[in-house]
Amino acid sequence: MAINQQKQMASASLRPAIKPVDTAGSALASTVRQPQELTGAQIFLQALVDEGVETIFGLPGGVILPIYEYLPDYPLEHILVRHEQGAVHMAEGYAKATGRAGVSLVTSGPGATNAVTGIADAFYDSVPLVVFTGNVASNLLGNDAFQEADIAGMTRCCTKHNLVVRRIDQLAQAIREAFHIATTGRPGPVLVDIPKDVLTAMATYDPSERQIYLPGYANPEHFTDEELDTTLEILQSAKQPVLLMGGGVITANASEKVVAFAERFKIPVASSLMGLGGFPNQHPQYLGFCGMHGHYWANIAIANADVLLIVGNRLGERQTGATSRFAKNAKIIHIDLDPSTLEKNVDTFLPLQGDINNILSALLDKTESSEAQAGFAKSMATRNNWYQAIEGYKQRKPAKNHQENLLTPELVIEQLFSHMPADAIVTTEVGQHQMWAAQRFNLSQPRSWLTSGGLGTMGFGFPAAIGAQKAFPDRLVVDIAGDGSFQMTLQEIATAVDYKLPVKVAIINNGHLGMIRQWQGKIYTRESQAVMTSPDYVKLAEAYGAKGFVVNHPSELDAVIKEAYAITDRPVLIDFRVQEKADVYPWVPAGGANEQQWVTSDDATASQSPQSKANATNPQTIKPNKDGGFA
Amino acid sequence: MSERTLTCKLQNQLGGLDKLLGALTHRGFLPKHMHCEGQGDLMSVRIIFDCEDDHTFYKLLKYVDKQIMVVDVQPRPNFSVSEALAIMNS
Repeated sequence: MAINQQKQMASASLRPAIKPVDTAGSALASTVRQPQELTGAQIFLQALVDEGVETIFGLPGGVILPIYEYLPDYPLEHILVRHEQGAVHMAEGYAKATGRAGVSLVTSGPGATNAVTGIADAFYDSVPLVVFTGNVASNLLGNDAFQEADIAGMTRCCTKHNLVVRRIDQLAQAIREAFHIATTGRPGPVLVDIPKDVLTAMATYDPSERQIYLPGYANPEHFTDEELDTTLEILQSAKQPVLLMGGGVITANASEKVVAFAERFKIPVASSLMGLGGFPNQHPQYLGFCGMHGHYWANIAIANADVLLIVGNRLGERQTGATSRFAKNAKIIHIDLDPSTLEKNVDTFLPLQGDINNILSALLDKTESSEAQAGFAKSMATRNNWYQAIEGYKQRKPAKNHQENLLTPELVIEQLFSHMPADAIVTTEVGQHQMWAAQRFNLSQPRSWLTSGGLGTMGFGFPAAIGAQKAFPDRLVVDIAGDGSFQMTLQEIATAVDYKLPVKVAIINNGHLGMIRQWQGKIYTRESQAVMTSPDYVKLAEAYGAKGFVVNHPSELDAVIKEAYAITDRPVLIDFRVQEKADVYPWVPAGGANEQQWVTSDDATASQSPQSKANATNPQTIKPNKDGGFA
Repeated sequence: MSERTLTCKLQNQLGGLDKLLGALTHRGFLPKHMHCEGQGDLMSVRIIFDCEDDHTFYKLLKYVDKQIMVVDVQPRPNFSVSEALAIMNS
């Protein structure tokens, strides 16, 4: 027998057969209708079933083995991951795509600490998550026990709420409260830490008990009729209004209301990174994406607005640019459910605290009166002038980076979108590809754009895509990834293969940490640690049991994308070997005002320091100054 | 430096004091005086610290107020529109 044949047979015998997913429950599962004595692990599982949980993303460990002992008895599908960070990002993708709480289960110590990045990511993007961590037995807490970690202490600043369950009789209520907190008000991650002895103790579980005790939790609305009248007057007298929406519109399921409102008032609408998909892309009133790498015309419209209505948007500085110069000509009205978001980053003329749907509905109701109609007729007369001005702004845009015989990242991303059906879901990693994708995003359904905005977590997109694919097995799910980001969580290819989740990963492979290289090239004086190698992704895919493609030339794009999108039984990696050094434009330099965007590379070059320009052409000119530093 | 006093009740069995002090420390405020009372479900806390800027103090109050473990923050951070305008125009 040839040596290669012998090796293949040997490796095949070492590879365990993949077991089918356990979905069937026993007679015990979901039949607890009367108070019953159960172990803590059974109470845990039953409480999840009673909360409507269907899927858990997790990885077993010593202290949570009691849960895994009983898990097959319950109608819960467990997705076994390869790293706890993947579990939490998958739960995030599931939650972002569905609006329901994502659930993760991880063990103590390193299992819990591996989950922290995902938890913080969910916190900054207001994602409803419930993360369960096991912990060592209560009598060992504080003993530096094996795999002990004060995970509640570690995550106190990056969870909406967290708690340690100290007694078995607290467990069911803790789980109820966790789901309530995660999914109401401004959503966010809740961590519930459960010591092992709580899981093995016995207690009575009463499914009819629904008590919640949260004296410090409320989601009040604070807006008055007078404030609504003031808002209406301001909008009626506005000559150049803009509505700036954020991810909160999608979280609140308020997209339809925003569209109705924008159409009634004929206001152009811009979106933050997190709000993409919340307003129909093809709508004539849609301006597009604003911020650091946003569309020039969206940024200029906001800068020239006389009234800025901000809806479900926390105004992060990547979006506003220098906050002291953001929308300086505008009267700002800010609608948000979270009071701590109002007047935090930007001075506001009129903050309205409440649910977007309620406030916009109330405003729309007020427009029905004949007085309001008369007011509108007057203001609409000038609205066409404003739209004409915006059309003028749209004449300024970066040149298309389409070059014959060169695979450019922009062309790849445009082609990825052009082949997608209307109900596709797109996730991204973080970096240049994320910004190019945001600029070219053309889907029109809420919850079709899943990205890491606040924390900006490289490695988010692929596991999030797996979570979204789990939620919607029949939709096309594409992760647009950089080669740097993808290598952070690519171990989850195994998870996608195991559960036959046909996520498509489009790797924009430029052999660099692209955004780092871009900043070093234009803002700093030299490239440093930005070159990154990758494995052969086709061989990697095949090693995992996935499908791999490589694309080197524009002529290959159409056929490969079509073939990749048609695969439905396994994940797909597409290695797009793109132009190494392309920069994302437009670009607001950090600390600059949005209207000072560099729209083309010539704008950026003109702004570079002489030293930086010199180094760009000849690195040998770098010399230390007399104090030992560099120019 | 303007001296500020923040009082609240919090569920300390949930780590409420840790959360409150973490919020202050993260923003660069160090307590000058602190008084805590009560071991039951809701502990009363009074913290005195320096904070020069009204707006920064206001933002901190709103952050603390929204924490689930914290109840009844004083001074109340919910300003009316007229009060908010008065502060911005002062």
